[in-house]
Amino acid sequence: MKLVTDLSVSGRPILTGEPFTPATLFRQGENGLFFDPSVAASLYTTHDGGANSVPGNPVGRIEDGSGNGNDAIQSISTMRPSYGRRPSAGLRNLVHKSQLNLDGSGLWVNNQSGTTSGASSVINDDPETTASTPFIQQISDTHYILWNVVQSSELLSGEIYRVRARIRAIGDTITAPWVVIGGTTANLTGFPITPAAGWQWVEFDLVSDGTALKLGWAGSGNNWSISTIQVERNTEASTYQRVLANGYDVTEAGMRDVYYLFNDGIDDALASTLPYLGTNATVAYASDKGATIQTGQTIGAGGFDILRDTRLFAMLVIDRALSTAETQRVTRFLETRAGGYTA
Amino acid sequence: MRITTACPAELISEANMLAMIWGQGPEDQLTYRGCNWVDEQGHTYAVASWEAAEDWDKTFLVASDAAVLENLRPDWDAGILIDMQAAARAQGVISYWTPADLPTSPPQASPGTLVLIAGLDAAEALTALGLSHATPA
Repeated sequence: MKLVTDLSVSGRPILTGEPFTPATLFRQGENGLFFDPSVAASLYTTHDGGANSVPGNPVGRIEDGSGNGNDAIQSISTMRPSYGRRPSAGLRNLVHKSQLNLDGSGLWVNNQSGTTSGASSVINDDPETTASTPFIQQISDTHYILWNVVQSSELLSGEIYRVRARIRAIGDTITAPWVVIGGTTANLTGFPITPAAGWQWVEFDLVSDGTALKLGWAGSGNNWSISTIQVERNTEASTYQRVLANGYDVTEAGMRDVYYLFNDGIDDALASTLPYLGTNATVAYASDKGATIQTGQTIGAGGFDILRDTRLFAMLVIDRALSTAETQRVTRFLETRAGGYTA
Repeated sequence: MRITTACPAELISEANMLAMIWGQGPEDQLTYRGCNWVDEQGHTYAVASWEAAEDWDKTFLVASDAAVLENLRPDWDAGILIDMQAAARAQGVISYWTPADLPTSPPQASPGTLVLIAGLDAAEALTALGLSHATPA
């Protein structure tokens, strides 16, 4: 029997104080495995240990939470899944970097057109008025293009997207987006921006032509800064989602985080070596497609790849059937870990 | 920055030497195996895809010279496993593309070339490479 719980309902209440963990199912010496990527201390960048993974890192090992020591590993570098987190209500911001990475690396402004030249740099300023972390990209030139703000695979030709960001004019007044590659624009708001105005929200609608979206702004030869860029479907701007680590680390103020292992669908695998678990095992997991519980499974001795679909939020394998009450609790646990997200 | 590579069947041995330089241990000599992808002409390829540091290309896409590559020999190797001459042969046939190369289109996979596509997700890169999954024998 296969039970699939649809998690497509949006606005699911946030579950707090979850007392149940599937680890308790193994109290009578049951064999199997249990992986929960929300436990960051259980993930490592390499198969033989290494540092704990943080969102954006590869995962070479995840420790088994069942007490059986059936850790899942991947010894080949390119085949390791990536560790990710996202808001429980899902992802709206389509950009892969909405700000700089916290360590100042990963500049998403790295191309220019025209004949001028200039260096981009990081300044310690945060328009979100939180910490003075180096979030902001300062462009010391007029002709920079923010290439690959959104990849073409994320945009549908003919669809409308809302582009929103905070911009600051440091030198001359910024009149309007200078370059938009990837579609046509309308409904510009927020321009012009004078140096005296400080950080200002600007936004416009983009009708995508299906190619990658690239943006630039004119500054008449002087500096300007941009941060907190958000591109989302439709024309109603919503709460900003901060996107770092090439899209693997997305957070939203006031929203619970969910954690996952990302499978690139090409060569990724993360396998545990299991003993023979009999013919009545249970496999339960949460992925992009919801919570799935498979009963009456035959699990032979050998490698068991835990990755499912594109994102895996939790995985449980146990060498027995679950009671009705246990099934309900496991289902709720899996739904909580998936955060109501569906592909 | 995601990097996706297409390695033609005849380059697998050399490309796996390079993969050990790019990777983290001797296990990376198994990066390319099983030519499960095919182009329109029927040539087969092994593929790999991974998230790399933003400056990955500046570190690793150096001259295709064994002596230069020697400077990148990992500490774990101690001159034993990686054949730098073979790695240099693979390095010498790399075709590398990033979105900064637009409007030039990404190169398609081809025999004799180790094609690397940066900055696209894996599925999009494979489409750009002109590859589809080979029908299992």
